[in-house]
Amino acid sequence: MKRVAVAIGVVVMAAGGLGFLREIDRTRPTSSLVFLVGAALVHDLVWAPAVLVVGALLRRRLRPRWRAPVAFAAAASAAISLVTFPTVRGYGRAADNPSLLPGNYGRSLVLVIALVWLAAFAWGATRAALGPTAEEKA
Amino acid sequence: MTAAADAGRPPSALHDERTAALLGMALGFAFTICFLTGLLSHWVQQPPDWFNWPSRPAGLYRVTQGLHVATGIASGPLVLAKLWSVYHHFYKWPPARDIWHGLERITLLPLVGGSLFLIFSGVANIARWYPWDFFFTTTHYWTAWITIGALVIHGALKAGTARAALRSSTPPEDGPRPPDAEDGLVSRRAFLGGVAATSGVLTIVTAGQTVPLLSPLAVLSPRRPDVGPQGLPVNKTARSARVRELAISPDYRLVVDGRVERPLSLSLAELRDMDHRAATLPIACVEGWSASARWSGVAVRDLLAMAGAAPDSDVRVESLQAGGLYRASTLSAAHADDPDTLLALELRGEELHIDHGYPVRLIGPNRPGVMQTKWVSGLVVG
Repeated sequence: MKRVAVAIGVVVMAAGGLGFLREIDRTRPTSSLVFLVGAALVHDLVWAPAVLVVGALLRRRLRPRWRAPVAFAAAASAAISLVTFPTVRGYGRAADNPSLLPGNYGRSLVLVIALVWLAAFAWGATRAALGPTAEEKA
Repeated sequence: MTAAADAGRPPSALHDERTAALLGMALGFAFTICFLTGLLSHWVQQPPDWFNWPSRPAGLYRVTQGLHVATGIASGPLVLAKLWSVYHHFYKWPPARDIWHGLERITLLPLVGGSLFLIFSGVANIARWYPWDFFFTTTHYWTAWITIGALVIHGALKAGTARAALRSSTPPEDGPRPPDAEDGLVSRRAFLGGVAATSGVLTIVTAGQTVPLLSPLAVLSPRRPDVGPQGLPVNKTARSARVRELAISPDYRLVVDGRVERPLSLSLAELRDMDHRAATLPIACVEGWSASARWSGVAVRDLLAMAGAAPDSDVRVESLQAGGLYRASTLSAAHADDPDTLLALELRGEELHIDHGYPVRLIGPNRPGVMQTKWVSGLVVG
C-alpha cells in the first residue's frame, strides 16, 4: 500500500517535472527555481527563526493567561500581512484600469489587524479574569 | 511540568505529531481542492479530446474558480502553521535514519518549496504583480503537479505516524487535563483555533470578490465586483490591447466564415437591427473574482443559423487584437448552441464600454473570463 502510493506520487511528480521542462521557455527555471527554493529557504532561515524569537519573548514577558491571545494576534497579523501584501502594496495598479486594486488597502489592513488585536484582548481579559495559573502560584 | 518529564518530548503540544497530523490533514484537503479546481480550469481552457465542458450550469466556473482562489488564500496560514509545528525536525541529525526517511526528507523540498511557491505566485498573480521572468499560468500549473506528487509521497510515508498520533489519547485533549494547559506558550486547542481564525479572517476579507453576500467585507480583495466601467471590473483595457482605433472605426465589420453556406459580413448598424436576446451572466475571472450583469446582443446560434453553419461545429471567436495569448477563444459546439451565448452589444441597457469590448463581445454561460473574447471581429466555423 505504502509502496503503491509512493510510486503514484513519484509518477505524478515526474509528470510535473517533465511538463515543466517541456515548456521551459515559459517556466524559465532560472527565475522560477529561485522563487521555489528561495521560498523554502526564506521560510526555514528567516521566517521560522523570527517566529521562534518572538515566541520566546512573549513567553518571558507575558503572564500565562495572556500568552495565547497575544501570540495569536501577533501570528495572525503577520500571516494576514504576508498573504495580502501584494494587494496592499498595489504593485499591479495600472493607470488605464481603475477596476484593478481599487481599495485603500493600507487602511483596510490596519483595520483588520486592529480587529484581530481587539478580539485577542477580549479573549485575554476573559482568561485573566480566571485568576493566576498554577504556574504563577507555584 | 518538570524538566524530566519534558525530556524526549517535542518542545510543546504545538510541535507534537498530533498537531502536525491535524494540520496536515487540513492542508491535504485544501490542496486537493486547489489541485482539482485548477486542473479543471486548465482543461476548460486547453481541453483534451475527451473533455467536454458543459455550458450549464451558467455559474459553475465562477464557483470552481472562486473556490480555487479562496482555498489558496486560506491555505497560507495553514502552511505556515504546519511548517511551524514540524520546524524542530529541520535541525534533526543525522538527516536520515533509513531509506524511507531519507526519501521523505528529500521530497520535503518540492513539497515545502512548491507549496510556498504556489501560494506566493497565486496571491501575487491575483494582485497583478509579476516580480519574475517566468510565465505565471504554465509555471503555477506544472509546479502544482510536482507539489501534489510530493504531497502524495509525504502522505503515504506519514500515514502511519499520523494515524497513531490521532488515535493516541495523550493529554491534553482526551486525558485528564492539567488545571492549566499553559506550560508551553499556547495550548494545542488555542493554536489550532488561532490558525482556523486567521484563515477565516483572510477568507472573509477577500471572498467577497466573488461571493455577493460577502462583498461589503471584501476590504482586502484585489477586485470589487461593482468597481469598473459600467459597474463591472475589467481585466484588459482597450488601450493595453491596442484595439481602440479598430474598435471605433466606422469600417467595423463582423465576419462569419469557415464551414458556412453563406459567409456574412455585418456592420454595427446591421447587428443592432437584428433580433436581440438578453441574459444575466457572470464574468468569472481565473483570478477568482466574478460579477453578474445583464447583457444583450445577438445569439451566436442565430448568427450561425443565418450563415448556414455546419451543425455541431466548434466556433473560433476572434478579436480585433493583433496578438496576445487570449486574442481568440473557441466555443465548443455545446457552448455555440446555447441560446444564452451572445455577441453582446449592450451591458445593463447601455452600449458596451470600450473596455468591456465595444462594439461587440462574446459573453456566454459557464466560461472563464479570458474566454469571453472582447472586440470580436469574426466567427470562424469548423
